Amino acid sequence: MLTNNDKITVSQTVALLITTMLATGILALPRHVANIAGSDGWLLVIFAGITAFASSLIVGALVKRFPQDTFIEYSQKVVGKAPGFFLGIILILYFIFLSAMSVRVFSEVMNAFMLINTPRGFIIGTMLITSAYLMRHGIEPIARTGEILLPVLVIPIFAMYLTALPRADFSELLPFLDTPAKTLAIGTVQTAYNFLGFEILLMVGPYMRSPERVMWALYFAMGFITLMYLFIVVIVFASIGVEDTRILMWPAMSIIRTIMAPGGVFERLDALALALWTIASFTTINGMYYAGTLAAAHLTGAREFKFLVTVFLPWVYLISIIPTNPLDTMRWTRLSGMAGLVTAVIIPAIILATSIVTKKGGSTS
Amino acid sequence: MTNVFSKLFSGKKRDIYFEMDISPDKNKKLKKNIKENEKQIHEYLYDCDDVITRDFYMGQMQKHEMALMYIDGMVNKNDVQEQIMKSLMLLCRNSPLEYTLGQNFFNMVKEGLLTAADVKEVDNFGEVVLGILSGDTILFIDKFEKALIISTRGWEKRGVQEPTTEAVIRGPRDGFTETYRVNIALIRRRIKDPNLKVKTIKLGRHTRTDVGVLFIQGVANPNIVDEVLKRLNTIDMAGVLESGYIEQMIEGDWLSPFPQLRRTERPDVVAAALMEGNVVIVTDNTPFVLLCPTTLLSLLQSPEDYYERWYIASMIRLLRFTAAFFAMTFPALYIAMTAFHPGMLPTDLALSIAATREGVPFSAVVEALVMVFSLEVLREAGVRLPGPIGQTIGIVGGLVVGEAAVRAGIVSPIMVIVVAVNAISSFAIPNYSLAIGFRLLTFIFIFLAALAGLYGVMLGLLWLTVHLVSLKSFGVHYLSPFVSFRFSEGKDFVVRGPMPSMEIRPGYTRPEDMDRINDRRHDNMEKAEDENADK
Amino acid sequence: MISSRRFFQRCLLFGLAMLAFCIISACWDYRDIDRRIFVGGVGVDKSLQGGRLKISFLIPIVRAIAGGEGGGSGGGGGSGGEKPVIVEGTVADTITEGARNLALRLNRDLFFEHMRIVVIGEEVARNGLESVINPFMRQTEFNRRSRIAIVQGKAENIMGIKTIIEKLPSSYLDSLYGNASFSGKFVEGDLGDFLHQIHSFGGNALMSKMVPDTNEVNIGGGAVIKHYKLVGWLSEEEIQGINFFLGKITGGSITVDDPRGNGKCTFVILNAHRKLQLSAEEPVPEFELKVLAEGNISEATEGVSIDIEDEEIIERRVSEKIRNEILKGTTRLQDDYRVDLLRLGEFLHKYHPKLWKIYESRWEDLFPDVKISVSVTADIKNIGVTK
Repeated sequence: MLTNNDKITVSQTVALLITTMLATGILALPRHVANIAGSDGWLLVIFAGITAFASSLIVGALVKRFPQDTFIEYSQKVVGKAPGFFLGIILILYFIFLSAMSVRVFSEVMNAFMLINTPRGFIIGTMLITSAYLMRHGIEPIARTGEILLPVLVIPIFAMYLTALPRADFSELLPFLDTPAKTLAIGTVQTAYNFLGFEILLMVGPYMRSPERVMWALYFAMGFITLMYLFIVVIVFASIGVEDTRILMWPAMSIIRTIMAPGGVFERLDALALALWTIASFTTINGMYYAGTLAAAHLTGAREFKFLVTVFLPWVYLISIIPTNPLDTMRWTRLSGMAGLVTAVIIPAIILATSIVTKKGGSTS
Repeated sequence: MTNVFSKLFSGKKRDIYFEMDISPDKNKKLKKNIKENEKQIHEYLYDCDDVITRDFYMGQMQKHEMALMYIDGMVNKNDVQEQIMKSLMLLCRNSPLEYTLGQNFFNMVKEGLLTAADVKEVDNFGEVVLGILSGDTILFIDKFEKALIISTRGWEKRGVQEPTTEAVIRGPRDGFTETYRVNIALIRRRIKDPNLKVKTIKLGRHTRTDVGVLFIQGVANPNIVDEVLKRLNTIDMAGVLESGYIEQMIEGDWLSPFPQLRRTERPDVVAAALMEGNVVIVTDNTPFVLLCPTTLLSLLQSPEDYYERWYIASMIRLLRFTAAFFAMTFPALYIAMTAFHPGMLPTDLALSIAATREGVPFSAVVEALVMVFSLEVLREAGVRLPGPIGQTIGIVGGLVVGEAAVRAGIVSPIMVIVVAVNAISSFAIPNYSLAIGFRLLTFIFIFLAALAGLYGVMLGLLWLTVHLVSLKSFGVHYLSPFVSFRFSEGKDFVVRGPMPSMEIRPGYTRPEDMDRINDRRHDNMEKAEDENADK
Repeated sequence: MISSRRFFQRCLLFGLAMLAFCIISACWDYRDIDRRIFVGGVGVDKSLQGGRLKISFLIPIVRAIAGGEGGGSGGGGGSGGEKPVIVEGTVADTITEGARNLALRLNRDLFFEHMRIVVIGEEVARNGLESVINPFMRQTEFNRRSRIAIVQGKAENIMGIKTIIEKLPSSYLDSLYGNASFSGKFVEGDLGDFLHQIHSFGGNALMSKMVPDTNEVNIGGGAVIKHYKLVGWLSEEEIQGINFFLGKITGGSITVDDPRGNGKCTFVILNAHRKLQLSAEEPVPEFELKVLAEGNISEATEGVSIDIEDEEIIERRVSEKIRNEILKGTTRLQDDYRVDLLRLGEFLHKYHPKLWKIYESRWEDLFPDVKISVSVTADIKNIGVTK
């Protein structure tokens, strides 16, 4: 039962994955890794990327195994009707929660750097309405939007951080491997949540035109995201030093304030950068929100998908205004990381294992 | 509340045009008696004083009664006199013509006596009346239930002139005129291919306008052709006076500020579009021809992009993209930068902008709105006024009013610059409808920028992206080739690749025949090399 | 397709919503550019009333800046027309409070994103900088690229200077720092660099020093900050030495006696490379510094023509002089101030993390005893167009 007959190509899947994963959380990532591992923080990004990639393979395997179904359907096939239904509800809650958190983090950054006096409700509301407007057009326009916005987003971000290079001091990345292995291991798990977003494949999988190439999409998307995060973290470390990174709330944003555009056209690029992060945040919310409503549509068997988009809108909004201040938001984000561990790794792993043991699904069908 | 709405908008469809339908039935057959036929026609066309009836007899015996009917001013009188009257009344006066020929007499007149080139046989009133109204001459012959439509259309018409809205520096100078046949001929002259098909339908209950659908069979995607014909056939309106009527009736999304059909006055553009697999709609009585499907990219193209060498063409195309962006957002960006993020401006610039705004009574938003608005008024006034005055009003308005406003301290000089750049950018967009669409968005972007600075502008751009992404013109993505980008198509994209490298037609129309250019420049050389090697 | 009726209903609703929105919002962050004051600089002094700060803000008068058509009038003494800047002072406990105090007196909003310079008075610096620098960290409105300096005397005096070359004192002060390629005798750096040092080295930093005059400011020399407190000054030569040590030299000149011994000869530095190595770990770390300075001879006493032997002599003398300067600087820091601004601790931390773990806790006591051996090579690239 597909609510929409549109299908997306592999390259659109890659774009969708990358834009969903690339969120405003990256602005805080350098602080996060610097606090855990100091100058070895950039290693955490690589390790976390690999970890996230490994867990995304589970999702990929599920997509390949059940190329016609979304998570809602195959979880009910594999573990039975009632438990499957329960898992579906968890998935919906998770996606709704994550989209709420990502729009909240975006509004925090906005309020800190750009629109100091603008009420948070305005930023969150306009963002969600824009997202819902796109959502009503279905999966294909979402994927195409991702495809168009990806270069618009990624190329200027790279260019912007590259202009920080002349001031960068790469000896800040030293000492190398000074952190105990245990810290690194724990830190890797704690960092991995920044790579969440691939789990939308649980819902989007059957909409791929060629689900058998899902692994290729994952290789590409995860590799790209890891490199991009690594690049940003290294640039941040090198330009403001590890110690400053620990103190700054959004270090990746703060260093943009130290950059002067080449040629002196702009004194500073921060407003421009925030405009870019608006795109990043928008696409992330799209991915999460869409996956959530899609899951709900499949679970309830609702024909009217557009209706659900509107139904969820106030809930996402209400969840997103729960945290009282930026510090509280940080705490909630960590919670979303835990939720991600459960929803994006453990549950799919259980389903996959069960389906292999009970020999349900698979390429034969 | 809902009551108010329903009262305001309960646009009950008024069927008044249906009642006025006067067109004679096609099923109503002609009579044998010529007088009866004439009477019937006069019944249809009563009070039409421009209809001329000429009764005459032919042959030595003056036995054969005939009648000519036409509308004064729509026929070429010379043709009527020389090709019909003269041939029937003078040239065959001495020929032995007998009533006894019976049915053959009609054929004899049609095939043997009339010297007019285009003659058609009809047997019903519907076609007869339409023929008269279209400027043809009708020949009735007594005792036959048939009549002849002789094409004598000829009225005062404008010759082929240089199109005024799409001037080029390099390229052909001829443009479409108001005459359907001339327009079709201009296209046919460029594409001498039997696969160029012309399907003519008549639209408009009163106007009976000829509308031609042109496409190259084997290149154009049949789905698009069918879709165009299907949509055209659903049109039921009182009259079609311009292709704009058709455009608005068949476009997919009428909420969009973007034109979903391209219009042109240039036959060379039409020919190029046909070869890209487009379907062309030619409308009588207007020089504007519609091309579909349309993409945003094609609206930003000018025929010169292909006539000039590729570096130049690519550069100009890039310029146009930038201009399109500025035409939409420049005042909004100015407001966002100065009122929300002055930290982004270089210090000296920020200080000098602040200085120029000293003493300006309005906030930047009001200032921008006033300026953009008055510029629109000036532009509109310039269009209305006759040629030379129209041009001066632009300059006079721009310079004098702007200068005076600055002197008077009503607006800051920098705002004049901003609005001028905005306006000039919009003039750099080749398609007028698209440019107006962008100008319209300028206002929305100004509001958004006033609300939330760059974030507002960004939101606007996101909405625009979403809208464009979901917009389709006859089943073709409006944003192609930006979506589903393929490198082979990329040669005709933001940059225009060198001509020999554009080997395939653009893919957005899904043409059946993809080959565009075969690069054979090296064939001879290779042959020569082979020959040399053989020696 | 939506019916036209529903469409118009929607349009009306949307329009009403937009209108309501515009009225309610009143544009939260919207502030016309001429309603803002672009603060060019902030000066922090100790106020006469105990414990509080006297904060002065350098405020450009945009009317006077842009209105100055024909630069000639400004050049002739500067007192002809309207003054391009005013200095507003206020007494407060914190900088932000000071800015808010001004709201009682100024009709426009203070805006700090174009702030170019922060100057801190000597007294305040001696009492401790923690409270002063925090807002520059916390608030996004302050620019990490603006300059920061300690004033010998009162910061007000810097704010109050009447500059002649530039209209705005703030851009004059900012562009002084751009002269690093002409002179190595001051500390080049901005707020970002300063915060980086303060946070990385536990409150120690090398800062620029400013000495005000009536019409100009001298930024030669440097200020030594130890545990957020100003402990003393460094002379121009010492700073040049330390800059050599830190590898921050991008220009400057060294003047030595010429080979014939009857005049002076100036060596203009093009660039300098340095290499720092750990030569011994026990009982105290020993460091070996190698400096390579490249440059041109730009001046020599009239009548002296330089040949190969002379060149070698000059090179030797130049390197000897640079070595002396470096040693002067290091000794001053090691013996007098006992503060590691040579970044030796950072060096150990980065390249010898294991060793650093041993020394980290008592590095402050150890630093004065660290042995540094310096070897300098000067290399003359060009001697100009006279022999």
